Amino acid sequence: MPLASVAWAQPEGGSDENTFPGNLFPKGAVSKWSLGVFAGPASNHHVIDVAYATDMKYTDKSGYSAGIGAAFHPTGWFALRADVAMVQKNYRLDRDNRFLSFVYTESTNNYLSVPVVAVLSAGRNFKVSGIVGGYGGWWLSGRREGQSLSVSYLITGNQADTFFDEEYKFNDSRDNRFDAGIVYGFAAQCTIVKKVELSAEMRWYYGLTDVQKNYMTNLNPRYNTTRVIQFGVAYWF
Amino acid sequence: MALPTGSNNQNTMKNINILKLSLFLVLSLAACRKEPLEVTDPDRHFCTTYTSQFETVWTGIDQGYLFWDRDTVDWDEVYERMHPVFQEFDKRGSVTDAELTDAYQSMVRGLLDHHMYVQVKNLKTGNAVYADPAWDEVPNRDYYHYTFFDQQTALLSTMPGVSEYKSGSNSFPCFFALFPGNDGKKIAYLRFRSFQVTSVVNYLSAADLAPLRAFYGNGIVDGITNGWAGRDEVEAVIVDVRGNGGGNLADLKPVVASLSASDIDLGYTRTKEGLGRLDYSAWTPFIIPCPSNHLWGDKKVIVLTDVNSVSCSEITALMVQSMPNGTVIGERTYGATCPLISGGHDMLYSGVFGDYGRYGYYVYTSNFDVVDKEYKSLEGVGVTPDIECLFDVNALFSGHDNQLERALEFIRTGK
Repeated sequence: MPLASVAWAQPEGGSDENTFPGNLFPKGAVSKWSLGVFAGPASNHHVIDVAYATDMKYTDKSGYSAGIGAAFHPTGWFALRADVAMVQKNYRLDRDNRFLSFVYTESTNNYLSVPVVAVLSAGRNFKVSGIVGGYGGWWLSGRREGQSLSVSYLITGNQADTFFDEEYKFNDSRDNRFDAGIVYGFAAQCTIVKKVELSAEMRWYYGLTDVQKNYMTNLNPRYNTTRVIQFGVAYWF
Repeated sequence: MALPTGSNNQNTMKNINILKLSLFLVLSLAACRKEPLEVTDPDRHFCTTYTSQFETVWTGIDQGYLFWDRDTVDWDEVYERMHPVFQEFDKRGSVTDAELTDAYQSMVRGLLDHHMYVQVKNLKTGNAVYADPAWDEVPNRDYYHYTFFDQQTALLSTMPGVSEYKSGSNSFPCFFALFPGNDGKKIAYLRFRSFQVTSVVNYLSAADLAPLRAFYGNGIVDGITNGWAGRDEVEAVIVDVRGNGGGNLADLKPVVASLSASDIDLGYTRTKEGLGRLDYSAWTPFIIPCPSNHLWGDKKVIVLTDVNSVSCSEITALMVQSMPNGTVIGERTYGATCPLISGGHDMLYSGVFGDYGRYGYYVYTSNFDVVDKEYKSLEGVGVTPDIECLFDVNALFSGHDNQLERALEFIRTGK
């Protein structure tokens, strides 16, 4: 029997409180918990206005997301879910400049994110869900790899002198490591065996915190918007 | 057990309202991102008032200055303090060049960049005024002195035991000499006023090139070929960069790295990577390779420095200091150790910006940060010599170049 329908007693007659938009906390229903793990690819869009630096081209870069989550299901159509996830918010900077066409920076940024979302579902054996909520997080670490215009290159003309690949050293004056925003998306779930549910989900982490501290007067903000596709498995208790 | 239908409908509506409210809150939050600012390119801005000149220069330094990660000047405080001064200038019928100079000198005072100078047109008088942060610091050093390039080089040909003396003309002031060393060997000496060797070598007359050819041989830009510096009878070389204001980075490989037995690793360089004060590129290694024709063995390499050794001269001192057989003798240098490329603002959004002729302002400033292998910067400090020997003006006017004599003594005695 599908998980969604075994978890709650069906009311006799009247509307079905286990299907949207039924009662959020129906009498007689037994709340359920589920625990799950998930992972999948991520793609980050670094939002920045480069102003007159028009040859600086920021492009999306892929990464991954993985984590664990717990959900509280007061009804069959509503759940409150909290995750702990590692989300990469990567991006690439290229120079659209004939003298600097070789210059680029690929930034890999690892964030620990804790999204708390409401999950609104419809269906029984196969469910589709909408997800909305918020998240808080912390910029754990980063890496920079690429080529930069260097003094050695100016002297030798040798591009071998332009490469770098290093762990990103945080600047306490500049880098805002606290990350928060809203999360939204949609998902599909199906129960494969009793108490075990598979899911596929697409969600967006829409950052509302500037990745920089407000350290100078005329500072153009930078934000991350990260699209995550994650596949998971959950166990219902 | 089923609830009454009316209650169900009420609950359903209540839940839908909760969802609507949630969606409204989420959409409202999504609009919480700050809007981008209007940012004017400080490289190209027509200024018709003193205030707009000040704002443009302030903004250019705000966005493109290289040392905000360690400079102690509170640049926002500078804006608050100086903006009313320039607004007041705009209200007045006359502003003297001295007043405008003082205002800009007050604006840049304390900035670390020793390459920097600000040139602004006085809108009332039409004259150019200058401000230079290094000028508040360098002349206050207790060993500061003017450059005595001509007086020192005039003594060269009269020094004891000198031979093979050669001098260029005013188009490229350059001097070569051989001094007696130990066991009948020689010491090869070279002095030039600026690092322009690679850019002028194809244009100078044979007479002007004679000192360079004597030291490096016919190749010059290929390093040392058949010049005195590479000969076995020469035990040591001296490159004198006193009073040398710097020049072209391209000289460092043939002119200086050719004196090393191996590639020279000076540390790291970086530039800006955005308009934020702290938007930096990653550090990349600062390695200057030897040309194919370079010195081998344990020949001593000496660089003579003074407080007027600037920029490439200071990099030269650092390069020689990194050589196992290299020694820097003289005075702590000027402190402009971070290079720049003119016209680089369009590429690097840092460094030199403005155009005095077109826009009435021009700011000369570095766009490559340089640190040593421990990430220590010498900008604003200068290179400290291994053997300090301060300039003695009285000795000079009694016929002695005490710093050059100290270098010769070190080579001859090892002390």
